[in-house]
Amino acid sequence: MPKKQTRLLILSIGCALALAFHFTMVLVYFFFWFNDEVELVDPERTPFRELDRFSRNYIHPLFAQDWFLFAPRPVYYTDTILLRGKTVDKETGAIAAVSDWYSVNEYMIAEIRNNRWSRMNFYRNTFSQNYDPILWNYSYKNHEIRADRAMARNEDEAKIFLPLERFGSRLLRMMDPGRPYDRMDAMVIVTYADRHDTGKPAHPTETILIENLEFIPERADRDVFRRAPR
Amino acid sequence: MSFAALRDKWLDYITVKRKLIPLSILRIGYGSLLLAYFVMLWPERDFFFSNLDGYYPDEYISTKSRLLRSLLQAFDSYVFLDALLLIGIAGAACFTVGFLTKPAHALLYASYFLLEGRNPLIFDAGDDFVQLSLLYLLFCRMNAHFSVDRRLSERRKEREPEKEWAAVLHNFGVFAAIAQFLLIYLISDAAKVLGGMWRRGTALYYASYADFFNLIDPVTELLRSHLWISQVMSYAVMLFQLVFAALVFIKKTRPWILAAAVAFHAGIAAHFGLVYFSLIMIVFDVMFFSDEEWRAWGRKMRRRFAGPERKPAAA
Repeated sequence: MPKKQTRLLILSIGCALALAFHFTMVLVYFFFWFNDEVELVDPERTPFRELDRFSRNYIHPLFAQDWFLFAPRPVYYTDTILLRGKTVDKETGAIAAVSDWYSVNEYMIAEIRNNRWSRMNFYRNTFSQNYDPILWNYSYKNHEIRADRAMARNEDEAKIFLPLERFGSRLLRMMDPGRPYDRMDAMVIVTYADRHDTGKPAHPTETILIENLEFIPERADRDVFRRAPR
Repeated sequence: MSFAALRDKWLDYITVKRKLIPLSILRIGYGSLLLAYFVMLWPERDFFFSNLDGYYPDEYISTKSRLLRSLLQAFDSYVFLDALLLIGIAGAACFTVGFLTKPAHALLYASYFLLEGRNPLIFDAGDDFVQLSLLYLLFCRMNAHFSVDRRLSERRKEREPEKEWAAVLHNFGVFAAIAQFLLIYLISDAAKVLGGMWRRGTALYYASYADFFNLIDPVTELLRSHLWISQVMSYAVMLFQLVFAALVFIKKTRPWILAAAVAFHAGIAAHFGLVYFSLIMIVFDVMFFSDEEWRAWGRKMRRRFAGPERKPAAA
Protein backbone atom coordinates (compact mmCIF):
# COMPACT_ATOMS: atom_id res chain seq x y z
CA MET A 1 0.00 0.00 0.00
CA PRO A 2 1.47 3.38 -0.97
CA LYS A 3 2.60 5.65 1.86
CA LYS A 4 0.08 8.34 0.90
CA GLN A 5 -2.81 5.90 1.11
CA THR A 6 -1.65 4.73 4.53
CA ARG A 7 -1.55 8.32 5.78
CA LEU A 8 -5.05 8.99 4.47
CA LEU A 9 -6.33 5.82 6.09
CA ILE A 10 -4.78 6.78 9.44
CA LEU A 11 -6.26 10.30 9.13
CA SER A 12 -9.73 8.96 8.37
CA ILE A 13 -9.56 6.48 11.26
CA GLY A 14 -8.41 9.29 13.55
CA CYS A 15 -11.32 11.49 12.44
CA ALA A 16 -13.78 8.63 12.93
CA LEU A 17 -12.47 8.02 16.47
CA ALA A 18 -12.61 11.73 17.29
CA LEU A 19 -16.19 11.91 16.05
CA ALA A 20 -17.16 8.78 17.98
CA PHE A 21 -15.59 10.20 21.17
CA HIS A 22 -17.30 13.56 20.69
CA PHE A 23 -20.79 12.18 20.18
CA THR A 24 -20.32 9.63 22.98
CA MET A 25 -19.57 12.56 25.30
CA VAL A 26 -22.68 14.37 24.06
CA LEU A 27 -24.79 11.27 24.75
CA VAL A 28 -23.21 10.81 28.19
CA TYR A 29 -23.94 14.48 28.95
CA PHE A 30 -27.62 14.02 28.06
CA PHE A 31 -27.76 10.66 29.83
CA PHE A 32 -27.05 12.40 33.13
CA TRP A 33 -29.75 14.98 32.41
CA PHE A 34 -32.23 12.18 31.87
CA ASN A 35 -30.87 10.33 34.89
CA ASP A 36 -32.21 13.14 37.07
CA GLU A 37 -35.72 12.04 35.96
CA VAL A 38 -35.43 8.27 35.80
CA GLU A 39 -32.46 7.49 38.10
CA LEU A 40 -31.10 4.57 36.10
CA VAL A 41 -27.80 4.90 37.94
CA ASP A 42 -26.87 6.28 41.33
CA PRO A 43 -25.37 9.69 40.49
CA GLU A 44 -23.46 9.72 43.79
CA ARG A 45 -21.31 6.69 42.89
CA THR A 46 -17.81 7.92 42.14
CA PRO A 47 -17.43 6.64 38.54
CA PHE A 48 -20.80 8.11 37.49
CA ARG A 49 -20.15 11.39 39.30
CA GLU A 50 -16.77 11.71 37.60
CA LEU A 51 -18.20 10.80 34.20
CA ASP A 52 -20.96 13.38 34.64
CA ARG A 53 -18.41 16.03 35.64
CA PHE A 54 -16.11 15.14 32.76
CA SER A 55 -18.91 15.27 30.17
CA ARG A 56 -20.10 18.66 31.47
CA ASN A 57 -16.58 20.08 31.34
CA TYR A 58 -16.18 18.69 27.83
CA ILE A 59 -19.47 20.11 26.54
CA HIS A 60 -19.18 23.60 28.06
CA PRO A 61 -18.76 26.11 26.59
CA LEU A 62 -17.66 25.05 23.08
CA PHE A 63 -20.29 22.37 22.47
CA ALA A 64 -23.06 23.70 24.75
CA GLN A 65 -26.47 22.43 23.67
CA ASP A 66 -30.00 21.95 24.94
CA TRP A 67 -32.53 19.98 22.91
CA PHE A 68 -35.39 19.61 25.35
CA LEU A 69 -37.71 21.75 23.21
CA PHE A 70 -41.01 21.72 25.12
CA ALA A 71 -39.95 18.47 26.86
CA PRO A 72 -40.21 16.67 29.21
CA ARG A 73 -42.96 19.15 30.17
CA PRO A 74 -44.03 22.00 27.92
CA VAL A 75 -44.63 25.45 29.38
CA TYR A 76 -48.20 25.17 30.72
CA TYR A 77 -48.67 28.56 32.25
CA THR A 78 -48.58 32.19 31.23
CA ASP A 79 -46.52 34.81 32.99
CA THR A 80 -48.20 38.15 32.51
CA ILE A 81 -46.11 41.21 33.30
CA LEU A 82 -47.91 44.45 34.09
CA LEU A 83 -46.01 47.71 34.51
CA ARG A 84 -46.99 51.13 35.78
CA GLY A 85 -44.94 54.29 35.97
CA LYS A 86 -44.72 56.67 38.90
CA THR A 87 -43.75 60.33 39.01
CA VAL A 88 -42.16 61.72 42.15
CA ASP A 89 -42.71 65.23 43.44
CA LYS A 90 -39.20 66.69 43.45
CA GLU A 91 -39.81 68.87 46.51
CA THR A 92 -41.56 66.51 48.87
CA GLY A 93 -40.25 63.19 47.49
CA ALA A 94 -43.78 61.79 47.57
CA ILE A 95 -45.45 59.98 44.66
CA ALA A 96 -47.21 62.67 42.59
CA ALA A 97 -48.82 60.58 39.85
CA VAL A 98 -49.26 56.91 38.98
CA SER A 99 -50.02 55.66 35.48
CA ASP A 100 -52.40 52.84 34.50
CA TRP A 101 -51.10 49.28 34.40
CA TYR A 102 -49.69 48.38 30.97
CA SER A 103 -49.64 44.75 29.90
CA VAL A 104 -46.25 43.81 28.44
CA ASN A 105 -47.75 40.55 27.14
CA GLU A 106 -50.50 42.22 25.14
CA TYR A 107 -48.01 44.62 23.59
CA MET A 108 -45.48 41.92 22.69
CA ILE A 109 -47.99 39.39 21.39
CA ALA A 110 -49.61 42.04 19.18
CA GLU A 111 -46.18 42.94 17.78
CA ILE A 112 -45.20 39.31 17.14
CA ARG A 113 -48.58 38.46 15.57
CA ASN A 114 -48.17 41.44 13.32
CA ASN A 115 -44.65 40.40 12.34
CA ARG A 116 -43.34 36.94 13.24
CA TRP A 117 -39.84 38.22 12.51
CA SER A 118 -40.20 41.10 14.98
CA ARG A 119 -37.43 42.13 17.40
CA MET A 120 -39.98 41.38 20.12
CA ASN A 121 -38.96 37.73 19.73
CA PHE A 122 -35.69 38.62 21.47
CA TYR A 123 -37.57 40.29 24.32
CA ARG A 124 -39.97 37.38 24.61
CA ASN A 125 -37.13 34.90 24.95
CA THR A 126 -35.64 36.89 27.85
CA PHE A 127 -38.93 37.14 29.70
CA SER A 128 -38.53 35.05 32.85
CA GLN A 129 -34.86 35.97 33.33
CA ASN A 130 -36.02 39.37 34.48
CA TYR A 131 -37.92 38.36 37.56
CA ASP A 132 -36.51 34.90 38.33
CA PRO A 133 -33.76 36.35 40.58
CA ILE A 134 -36.47 38.11 42.60
CA LEU A 135 -38.57 34.94 42.89
CA TRP A 136 -35.53 32.96 44.02
CA ASN A 137 -34.78 35.52 46.71
CA TYR A 138 -38.26 35.97 48.17
CA SER A 139 -40.43 33.08 49.23
CA TYR A 140 -44.11 32.65 48.45
CA LYS A 141 -46.86 33.24 50.99
CA ASN A 142 -50.30 32.10 49.89
CA HIS A 143 -49.23 32.22 46.23
CA GLU A 144 -48.26 35.86 46.58
CA ILE A 145 -44.97 37.69 46.72
CA ARG A 146 -44.64 41.29 47.67
CA ALA A 147 -41.20 42.72 47.08
CA ASP A 148 -40.12 46.29 47.45
CA ARG A 149 -36.95 47.61 45.91
CA ALA A 150 -36.74 50.21 48.68
CA MET A 151 -36.57 47.42 51.27
CA ALA A 152 -33.43 45.84 49.82
CA ARG A 153 -31.09 45.32 52.76
CA ASN A 154 -27.85 45.82 50.90
CA GLU A 155 -26.33 46.43 47.48
CA ASP A 156 -26.32 42.74 46.56
CA GLU A 157 -30.00 42.42 47.28
CA ALA A 158 -30.74 45.57 45.28
CA LYS A 159 -28.88 44.05 42.34
CA ILE A 160 -31.46 41.31 41.82
CA PHE A 161 -33.97 43.98 40.80
CA LEU A 162 -31.71 45.31 38.05
CA PRO A 163 -32.77 43.00 35.17
CA LEU A 164 -36.44 43.82 35.74
CA GLU A 165 -35.67 47.54 36.11
CA ARG A 166 -33.84 47.68 32.80
CA PHE A 167 -36.30 45.44 31.00
CA GLY A 168 -39.33 47.22 32.47
CA SER A 169 -37.97 50.71 31.75
CA ARG A 170 -37.37 49.85 28.12
CA LEU A 171 -40.77 48.23 27.65
CA LEU A 172 -42.60 51.02 29.48
CA ARG A 173 -40.91 53.56 27.19
CA MET A 174 -42.09 51.55 24.17
CA MET A 175 -45.68 51.24 25.41
CA ASP A 176 -45.97 54.76 26.78
CA PRO A 177 -43.40 56.85 24.93
CA GLY A 178 -42.29 60.29 26.09
CA ARG A 179 -43.38 60.02 29.71
CA PRO A 180 -40.56 60.90 32.13
CA TYR A 181 -41.29 58.49 34.97
CA ASP A 182 -39.13 58.33 38.08
CA ARG A 183 -40.10 54.92 39.37
CA MET A 184 -42.27 52.02 38.39
CA ASP A 185 -44.06 49.00 39.82
CA ALA A 186 -44.25 45.60 38.20
CA MET A 187 -46.75 42.83 38.69
CA VAL A 188 -46.16 39.29 37.46
CA ILE A 189 -49.25 37.09 37.34
CA VAL A 190 -48.65 33.39 36.73
CA THR A 191 -51.80 31.71 35.38
CA TYR A 192 -51.77 27.94 35.00
CA ALA A 193 -53.53 25.80 32.41
CA ASP A 194 -56.87 24.20 33.26
CA ARG A 195 -56.49 20.49 34.00
CA HIS A 196 -57.78 18.60 31.00
CA ASP A 197 -59.89 16.21 33.12
CA THR A 198 -61.52 18.71 35.48
CA GLY A 199 -61.49 21.97 33.55
CA LYS A 200 -60.20 23.72 36.67
CA PRO A 201 -56.79 25.43 36.93
CA ALA A 202 -53.97 22.98 37.66
CA HIS A 203 -52.54 25.40 40.25
CA PRO A 204 -53.81 28.56 41.90
CA THR A 205 -52.82 31.81 40.19
CA GLU A 206 -49.65 33.32 41.62
CA THR A 207 -49.08 37.03 41.96
CA ILE A 208 -45.79 38.81 42.43
CA LEU A 209 -45.97 42.54 43.12
CA ILE A 210 -42.65 44.35 42.94
CA GLU A 211 -42.74 47.99 43.96
CA ASN A 212 -40.54 51.06 43.72
CA LEU A 213 -38.31 49.88 40.90
CA GLU A 214 -35.95 52.46 39.44
CA PHE A 215 -37.04 53.83 36.08
CA ILE A 216 -33.84 53.92 34.05
CA PRO A 217 -33.80 56.64 31.41
CA GLU A 218 -32.53 55.96 27.90
CA ARG A 219 -28.90 56.89 27.49
CA ALA A 220 -28.70 59.85 25.15
CA ASP A 221 -25.13 59.33 24.07
CA ARG A 222 -22.77 56.51 24.83
CA ASP A 223 -19.40 57.08 26.40
CA VAL A 224 -17.59 54.49 24.35
CA PHE A 225 -14.48 54.40 26.48
CA ARG A 226 -16.24 53.97 29.81
CA ARG A 227 -15.47 50.76 31.62
CA ALA A 228 -17.52 49.14 34.34
CA PRO A 229 -16.05 49.27 37.84
CA ARG A 230 -15.03 45.77 38.99
CA MET B 1 -15.21 -8.47 0.01
CA SER B 2 -11.58 -8.55 1.11
CA PHE B 3 -10.16 -6.09 3.63
CA ALA B 4 -8.02 -4.46 0.92
CA ALA B 5 -11.03 -3.95 -1.36
CA LEU B 6 -13.06 -2.54 1.52
CA ARG B 7 -10.21 -0.20 2.45
CA ASP B 8 -9.84 1.02 -1.16
CA LYS B 9 -13.58 1.57 -1.47
CA TRP B 10 -13.55 3.56 1.77
CA LEU B 11 -10.60 5.67 0.62
CA ASP B 12 -12.27 6.29 -2.75
CA TYR B 13 -15.34 7.54 -0.93
CA ILE B 14 -13.70 9.61 1.78
CA THR B 15 -11.07 11.37 -0.37
CA VAL B 16 -13.63 13.07 -2.63
CA LYS B 17 -15.44 16.10 -1.23
CA ARG B 18 -19.14 15.29 -0.88
CA LYS B 19 -22.26 17.48 -0.64
CA LEU B 20 -20.67 20.56 -2.19
CA ILE B 21 -23.95 21.86 -3.67
CA PRO B 22 -26.01 21.39 -0.47
CA LEU B 23 -23.22 23.05 1.53
CA SER B 24 -23.32 26.05 -0.78
CA ILE B 25 -27.10 26.33 -0.43
CA LEU B 26 -26.74 25.95 3.34
CA ARG B 27 -24.12 28.72 3.34
CA ILE B 28 -26.56 31.11 1.65
CA GLY B 29 -29.38 30.10 4.01
CA TYR B 30 -27.37 30.39 7.22
CA GLY B 31 -25.57 33.52 6.09
CA SER B 32 -28.73 35.42 5.18
CA LEU B 33 -30.55 34.37 8.37
CA LEU B 34 -27.62 35.42 10.56
CA LEU B 35 -27.18 38.65 8.63
CA ALA B 36 -30.85 39.51 9.18
CA TYR B 37 -30.55 38.72 12.89
CA PHE B 38 -27.34 40.68 13.42
CA VAL B 39 -28.81 43.70 11.62
CA MET B 40 -31.95 43.45 13.76
CA LEU B 41 -29.83 43.25 16.91
CA TRP B 42 -27.73 46.32 16.06
CA PRO B 43 -30.10 48.92 17.62
CA GLU B 44 -30.67 46.62 20.61
CA ARG B 45 -27.03 45.66 21.20
CA ASP B 46 -26.45 47.59 24.43
CA PHE B 47 -29.63 46.30 25.99
CA PHE B 48 -28.96 42.65 25.22
CA PHE B 49 -25.18 42.34 25.39
CA SER B 50 -23.47 45.21 27.18
CA ASN B 51 -22.09 44.67 30.68
CA LEU B 52 -22.80 48.36 31.33
CA ASP B 53 -26.38 48.85 30.14
CA GLY B 54 -27.44 45.27 29.45
CA TYR B 55 -30.61 44.11 31.14
CA TYR B 56 -28.87 40.98 32.40
CA PRO B 57 -25.74 41.43 34.56
CA ASP B 58 -22.85 39.33 33.35
CA GLU B 59 -22.26 37.89 36.82
CA TYR B 60 -25.59 36.03 36.54
CA ILE B 61 -24.32 34.08 33.54
CA SER B 62 -23.37 30.69 34.87
CA THR B 63 -20.26 29.31 33.27
CA LYS B 64 -17.44 27.31 34.76
CA SER B 65 -15.25 28.11 31.81
CA ARG B 66 -12.52 30.54 32.86
CA LEU B 67 -11.86 31.34 29.22
CA LEU B 68 -15.46 32.34 28.53
CA ARG B 69 -15.67 34.25 31.80
CA SER B 70 -12.61 36.32 30.88
CA LEU B 71 -13.89 36.85 27.34
CA LEU B 72 -17.20 38.09 28.72
CA GLN B 73 -15.34 40.88 30.54
CA ALA B 74 -14.67 42.42 27.15
CA PHE B 75 -18.36 43.35 26.99
CA ASP B 76 -17.49 46.11 29.50
CA SER B 77 -16.43 48.08 26.45
CA TYR B 78 -18.85 49.59 23.94
CA VAL B 79 -16.08 49.62 21.33
CA PHE B 80 -15.65 45.87 21.66
CA LEU B 81 -19.38 45.24 21.42
CA ASP B 82 -19.80 47.44 18.35
CA ALA B 83 -16.77 45.92 16.67
CA LEU B 84 -17.94 42.38 17.44
CA LEU B 85 -21.38 42.96 15.97
CA LEU B 86 -19.93 44.73 12.92
CA ILE B 87 -17.56 41.80 12.40
CA GLY B 88 -20.56 39.50 12.67
CA ILE B 89 -22.50 41.55 10.09
CA ALA B 90 -19.54 41.73 7.70
CA GLY B 91 -18.79 38.02 8.24
CA ALA B 92 -22.41 37.04 7.58
CA ALA B 93 -22.58 39.19 4.43
CA CYS B 94 -19.31 37.78 3.01
CA PHE B 95 -20.32 34.25 4.00
CA THR B 96 -23.69 34.58 2.23
CA VAL B 97 -22.21 35.69 -1.07
CA GLY B 98 -19.20 33.41 -0.69
CA PHE B 99 -16.50 36.08 -0.68
CA LEU B 100 -13.37 35.21 1.34
CA THR B 101 -15.56 32.43 2.59
CA LYS B 102 -13.25 30.64 5.03
CA PRO B 103 -12.12 33.75 7.00
CA ALA B 104 -15.69 35.09 6.91
CA HIS B 105 -16.92 31.76 8.26
CA ALA B 106 -14.38 31.82 11.10
CA LEU B 107 -15.22 35.43 12.03
CA LEU B 108 -18.94 34.73 11.87
CA TYR B 109 -18.52 31.74 14.17
CA ALA B 110 -16.34 33.68 16.64
CA SER B 111 -18.73 36.64 16.87
CA TYR B 112 -21.76 34.37 17.17
CA PHE B 113 -20.06 32.29 19.88
CA LEU B 114 -19.25 35.38 21.97
CA LEU B 115 -22.65 37.04 21.54
CA GLU B 116 -24.44 33.79 22.36
CA GLY B 117 -22.12 33.28 25.35
CA ARG B 118 -22.95 36.76 26.67
CA ASN B 119 -26.69 36.24 26.33
CA PRO B 120 -27.62 32.64 25.67
CA LEU B 121 -31.39 33.06 25.76
CA ILE B 122 -32.26 35.77 23.30
CA PHE B 123 -32.32 33.43 20.33
CA ASP B 124 -34.50 30.34 20.39
CA ALA B 125 -33.14 26.77 20.30
CA GLY B 126 -31.76 27.39 16.80
CA ASP B 127 -28.76 29.22 18.24
CA ASP B 128 -27.14 26.10 19.71
CA PHE B 129 -27.45 24.23 16.45
CA VAL B 130 -26.17 27.12 14.31
CA GLN B 131 -23.20 27.55 16.61
CA LEU B 132 -22.31 23.84 16.59
CA SER B 133 -22.84 23.32 12.89
CA LEU B 134 -20.82 26.44 12.02
CA LEU B 135 -18.00 24.94 14.07
CA TYR B 136 -18.15 21.52 12.37
CA LEU B 137 -18.54 23.08 8.94
CA LEU B 138 -15.32 25.07 9.41
CA PHE B 139 -13.62 21.94 8.08
CA CYS B 140 -15.79 21.91 4.94
CA ARG B 141 -15.63 23.68 1.63
CA MET B 142 -18.67 25.94 1.58
CA ASN B 143 -17.90 28.04 -1.50
CA ALA B 144 -17.79 25.45 -4.28
CA HIS B 145 -20.96 26.81 -5.91
CA PHE B 146 -22.93 30.07 -6.11
CA SER B 147 -20.04 32.07 -4.67
CA VAL B 148 -17.95 35.11 -5.53
CA ASP B 149 -14.82 33.11 -4.65
CA ARG B 150 -15.63 30.59 -7.36
CA ARG B 151 -16.31 33.31 -9.93
CA LEU B 152 -13.01 35.00 -9.08
CA SER B 153 -11.02 31.79 -9.34
CA GLU B 154 -12.71 30.99 -12.68
CA ARG B 155 -11.82 34.45 -13.97
CA ARG B 156 -8.23 34.02 -12.85
CA LYS B 157 -8.34 30.55 -14.37
CA GLU B 158 -6.91 29.16 -11.16
CA ARG B 159 -7.49 25.52 -10.59
CA GLU B 160 -6.57 24.50 -7.09
CA PRO B 161 -5.50 20.88 -6.88
CA GLU B 162 -7.88 18.97 -4.60
CA LYS B 163 -6.00 17.88 -1.50
CA GLU B 164 -7.11 14.46 -0.38
CA TRP B 165 -6.46 15.09 3.32
CA ALA B 166 -8.66 18.21 3.08
CA ALA B 167 -11.39 16.07 1.52
CA VAL B 168 -11.22 13.68 4.50
CA LEU B 169 -11.67 16.58 6.95
CA HIS B 170 -14.41 18.05 4.75
CA ASN B 171 -16.40 14.82 4.76
CA PHE B 172 -16.05 14.32 8.51
CA GLY B 173 -17.23 17.91 9.05
CA VAL B 174 -20.33 17.05 7.03
CA PHE B 175 -20.86 13.81 9.02
CA ALA B 176 -20.58 15.72 12.29
CA ALA B 177 -23.11 18.39 11.25
CA ILE B 178 -25.61 15.78 10.04
CA ALA B 179 -25.13 13.63 13.16
CA GLN B 180 -25.73 16.70 15.35
CA PHE B 181 -28.91 17.49 13.42
CA LEU B 182 -30.25 13.95 13.88
CA LEU B 183 -29.31 14.05 17.55
CA ILE B 184 -31.63 17.03 18.09
CA TYR B 185 -34.68 14.98 17.15
CA LEU B 186 -33.54 11.89 19.05
CA ILE B 187 -32.65 13.72 22.28
CA SER B 188 -35.80 15.79 22.11
CA ASP B 189 -37.86 12.63 21.54
CA ALA B 190 -36.20 10.84 24.46
CA ALA B 191 -36.94 13.86 26.68
CA LYS B 192 -40.59 13.81 25.55
CA VAL B 193 -40.94 10.11 26.36
CA LEU B 194 -39.82 10.94 29.91
CA GLY B 195 -42.54 13.55 30.34
CA GLY B 196 -45.97 12.37 31.49
CA MET B 197 -47.75 15.05 29.48
CA TRP B 198 -46.27 13.78 26.21
CA ARG B 199 -46.93 10.14 27.10
CA ARG B 200 -50.56 10.94 27.87
CA GLY B 201 -50.83 13.10 24.76
CA THR B 202 -51.84 16.20 26.72
CA ALA B 203 -48.61 18.15 26.09
CA LEU B 204 -50.00 20.36 23.34
CA TYR B 205 -53.23 20.88 25.28
CA TYR B 206 -51.24 22.26 28.21
CA ALA B 207 -48.89 24.20 25.96
CA SER B 208 -51.93 25.96 24.49
CA TYR B 209 -52.16 27.87 27.78
CA ALA B 210 -48.79 29.57 27.30
CA ASP B 211 -49.83 32.87 25.69
CA PHE B 212 -46.54 33.66 24.03
CA PHE B 213 -46.44 30.38 22.12
CA ASN B 214 -49.99 30.44 20.81
CA LEU B 215 -50.20 32.99 18.09
CA ILE B 216 -53.03 31.56 15.95
CA ASP B 217 -56.26 31.78 17.96
CA PRO B 218 -58.31 29.12 16.10
CA VAL B 219 -55.52 26.56 16.62
CA THR B 220 -55.35 27.44 20.32
CA GLU B 221 -59.12 27.05 20.62
CA LEU B 222 -59.04 23.65 18.87
CA LEU B 223 -56.25 22.39 21.15
CA ARG B 224 -58.11 23.54 24.26
CA SER B 225 -61.55 22.29 23.28
CA HIS B 226 -60.72 18.92 21.64
CA LEU B 227 -58.30 16.83 23.65
CA TRP B 228 -58.03 14.21 20.89
CA ILE B 229 -56.43 16.82 18.59
CA SER B 230 -53.71 17.38 21.17
CA GLN B 231 -53.29 13.61 21.58
CA VAL B 232 -53.01 12.95 17.84
CA MET B 233 -50.57 15.81 17.35
CA SER B 234 -48.45 14.99 20.42
CA TYR B 235 -48.03 11.36 19.33
CA ALA B 236 -47.43 12.41 15.71
CA VAL B 237 -44.61 14.73 16.82
CA MET B 238 -43.01 11.96 18.90
CA LEU B 239 -43.32 9.46 16.06
CA PHE B 240 -41.90 11.91 13.53
CA GLN B 241 -38.86 12.65 15.71
CA LEU B 242 -38.30 8.95 16.34
CA VAL B 243 -38.37 7.81 12.71
CA PHE B 244 -36.75 10.83 11.05
CA ALA B 245 -33.17 9.56 11.42
CA ALA B 246 -34.06 6.24 9.80
CA LEU B 247 -36.40 7.37 7.02
CA VAL B 248 -34.27 10.28 5.83
CA PHE B 249 -31.58 7.87 4.61
CA ILE B 250 -33.99 5.72 2.56
CA LYS B 251 -34.31 7.18 -0.90
CA LYS B 252 -38.02 6.38 -1.30
CA THR B 253 -39.10 7.82 2.06
CA ARG B 254 -36.71 10.79 2.11
CA PRO B 255 -38.93 13.31 0.25
CA TRP B 256 -41.91 12.41 2.46
CA ILE B 257 -40.11 12.67 5.77
CA LEU B 258 -38.48 15.93 4.68
CA ALA B 259 -41.87 17.29 3.57
CA ALA B 260 -43.15 16.35 7.04
CA ALA B 261 -40.15 18.11 8.61
CA VAL B 262 -40.81 21.29 6.63
CA ALA B 263 -44.53 21.20 7.57
CA PHE B 264 -43.64 20.53 11.23
CA HIS B 265 -41.23 23.46 11.42
CA ALA B 266 -43.48 25.78 9.41
CA GLY B 267 -46.20 25.03 11.98
CA ILE B 268 -43.81 25.79 14.84
CA ALA B 269 -42.84 29.08 13.16
CA ALA B 270 -46.43 30.16 12.48
CA HIS B 271 -48.12 29.06 15.71
CA PHE B 272 -45.36 29.03 18.32
CA GLY B 273 -43.53 31.95 16.73
CA LEU B 274 -40.11 30.24 16.89
CA VAL B 275 -39.20 31.52 13.44
CA TYR B 276 -35.41 31.49 13.71
CA PHE B 277 -35.20 27.92 14.99
CA SER B 278 -37.68 26.69 12.38
CA LEU B 279 -35.94 28.34 9.45
CA ILE B 280 -32.56 26.99 10.57
CA MET B 281 -33.98 23.47 10.75
CA ILE B 282 -35.72 23.80 7.37
CA VAL B 283 -32.60 25.17 5.67
CA PHE B 284 -30.49 22.31 7.00
CA ASP B 285 -32.77 19.77 5.27
CA VAL B 286 -30.96 20.56 2.00
CA MET B 287 -28.05 18.51 3.35
CA PHE B 288 -29.97 15.26 2.96
CA PHE B 289 -29.75 15.33 -0.83
CA SER B 290 -26.56 14.46 -2.68
CA ASP B 291 -24.76 16.55 -5.31
CA GLU B 292 -26.06 14.24 -8.04
CA GLU B 293 -29.67 14.74 -6.91
CA TRP B 294 -29.26 18.53 -6.85
CA ARG B 295 -27.67 18.45 -10.33
CA ALA B 296 -30.53 16.31 -11.67
CA TRP B 297 -33.06 18.81 -10.27
CA GLY B 298 -31.08 21.67 -11.73
CA ARG B 299 -31.21 20.08 -15.19
CA LYS B 300 -34.94 19.38 -14.78
CA MET B 301 -35.63 22.98 -13.75
CA ARG B 302 -33.57 24.37 -16.61
CA ARG B 303 -35.51 22.21 -19.08
CA ARG B 304 -38.83 23.28 -17.58
CA PHE B 305 -38.11 27.01 -17.51
CA ALA B 306 -35.79 27.41 -20.50
CA GLY B 307 -37.82 25.12 -22.76
CA PRO B 308 -36.36 22.44 -25.02
CA GLU B 309 -32.78 22.99 -26.06
CA ARG B 310 -32.53 24.34 -29.61
CA LYS B 311 -30.76 22.26 -32.15
CA PRO B 312 -28.10 24.13 -34.13
CA ALA B 313 -29.43 25.25 -37.50
CA ALA B 314 -28.31 23.18 -40.45
CA ALA B 315 -25.61 24.85 -42.50
